[in-house]
Amino acid sequence: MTPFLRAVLGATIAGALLVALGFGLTRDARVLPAVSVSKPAPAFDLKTLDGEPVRLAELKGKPIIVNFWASWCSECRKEHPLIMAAHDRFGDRIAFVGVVFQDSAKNARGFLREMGVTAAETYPNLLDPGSRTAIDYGVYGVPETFFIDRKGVVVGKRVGRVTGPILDGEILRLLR
Amino acid sequence: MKRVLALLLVAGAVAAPLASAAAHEQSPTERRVAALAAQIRCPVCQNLSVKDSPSEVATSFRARIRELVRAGRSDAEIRAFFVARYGEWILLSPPKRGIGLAVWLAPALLLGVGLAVATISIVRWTRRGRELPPAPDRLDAELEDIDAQLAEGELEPGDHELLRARRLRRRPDAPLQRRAPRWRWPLAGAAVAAVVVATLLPALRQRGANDFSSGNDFGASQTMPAGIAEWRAAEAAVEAGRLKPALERYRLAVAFEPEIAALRARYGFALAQAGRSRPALTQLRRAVAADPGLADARLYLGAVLLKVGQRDEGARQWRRVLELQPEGKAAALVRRQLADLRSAR
Repeated sequence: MTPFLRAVLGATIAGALLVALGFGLTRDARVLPAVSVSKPAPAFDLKTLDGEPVRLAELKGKPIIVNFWASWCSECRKEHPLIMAAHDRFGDRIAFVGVVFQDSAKNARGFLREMGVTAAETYPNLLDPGSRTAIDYGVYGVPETFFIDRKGVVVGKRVGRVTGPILDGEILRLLR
Repeated sequence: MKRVLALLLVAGAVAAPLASAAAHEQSPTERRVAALAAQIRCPVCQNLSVKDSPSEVATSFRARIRELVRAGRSDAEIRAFFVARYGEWILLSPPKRGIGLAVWLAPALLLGVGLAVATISIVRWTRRGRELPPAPDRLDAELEDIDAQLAEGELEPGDHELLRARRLRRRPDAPLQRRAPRWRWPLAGAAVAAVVVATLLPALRQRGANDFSSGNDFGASQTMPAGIAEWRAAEAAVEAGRLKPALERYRLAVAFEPEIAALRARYGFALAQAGRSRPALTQLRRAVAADPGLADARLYLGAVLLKVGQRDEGARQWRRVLELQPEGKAAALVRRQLADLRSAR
């Protein structure tokens, strides 16, 4: 093996290792794949905190925002007023649905009270026994918000707390 | 008898949990659930399977797996069920195809390459070892031996010289030197730098692209606020003479930005142009209430009021426009209209 070939081989191996390292180290490990986006939203048939049945199929025709939350989640506490304000502004054109994640009905009611509403006064908040709907939506943790267009296709997904500009941007996309 | 009873009790105490554990493990359903749960990642944990995680989410996952097993689904179908919802990330082991295959093959491949390199190196070292010159002390001993042979008359002086020279020639004081070419290190450095740049650039660019699905970026995006974007689109629609889509966009923009008086004024004006005086008045009044110093809002409001026959209030609004902007573009027109109104009375 000539010195030139040896240098080329060495550089190739070092380069391959660097590519692998660079690929791994420059990516945010917390960024998870969004498989549910641009697929039909998984159907659900759940009951609100007041026991009223709500099915996804009934909501179709309008864009839908599905927000998974829990009373034990501090980011949800910060996020919820934003979602409620969006519901006040756009509730007539967009169906808002909350899904309570890994939490009791009692705690969920307490959370809504803290937000200044009762379960009957705001958009439907659904109980999800056994986290079936959360698993169907591929929820990693709360808060997590899904944006579903008029045809029932998930067009956007946010893991973690949404901010005002993010929420407005997604709403605009749903309404266009 | 007592001893026998005690023994039985002890045996029973030991056997009971063993028996229940055995019964638990013997259920083929539970065995399959456990095996599948061990392959599926707990989404709220760090590198833990839903079998090992005590979290409630993991409990829900196991219940779902059990349900699917009881429904007669195959292992592959159950894995596919979770992959469809969470992506391949949900499987703790990467799939044995595509890029995942590389992860499975790389260890074996690297082991093979390592073994080959080690074998070649060892063979080369041993061969070189055989050719190695004698160690200095051994050389000295050999030279002494040769000298002694000469002293004892066993060697002719000529042979002695020959042997000595032959031994000395093998002394390792002049190793063969081969200089590395000068360009080798710069070349290697340039190659490494090129690879680093080529790797980092797309990775950095990818960050922005990933923001959409990333949940952990709480920073505000650099894009224009949604309401302002809608407002601009509405103005563009008005410009193009498409009043109906403009109204829809104004309405959206106002929903996003309820505080901007100028936006409401434009919305009200567009409503009035569309002949919808009543909602136009509502929007224009709210605009004036939000910013009493906004001359445009009062100008539009006055015009609509005059149009619907509320002359007094309309005239009042226009007089305010003149107070606010006596030199404005509309001032002359407003003065003329007010004079007409007065003479008409």
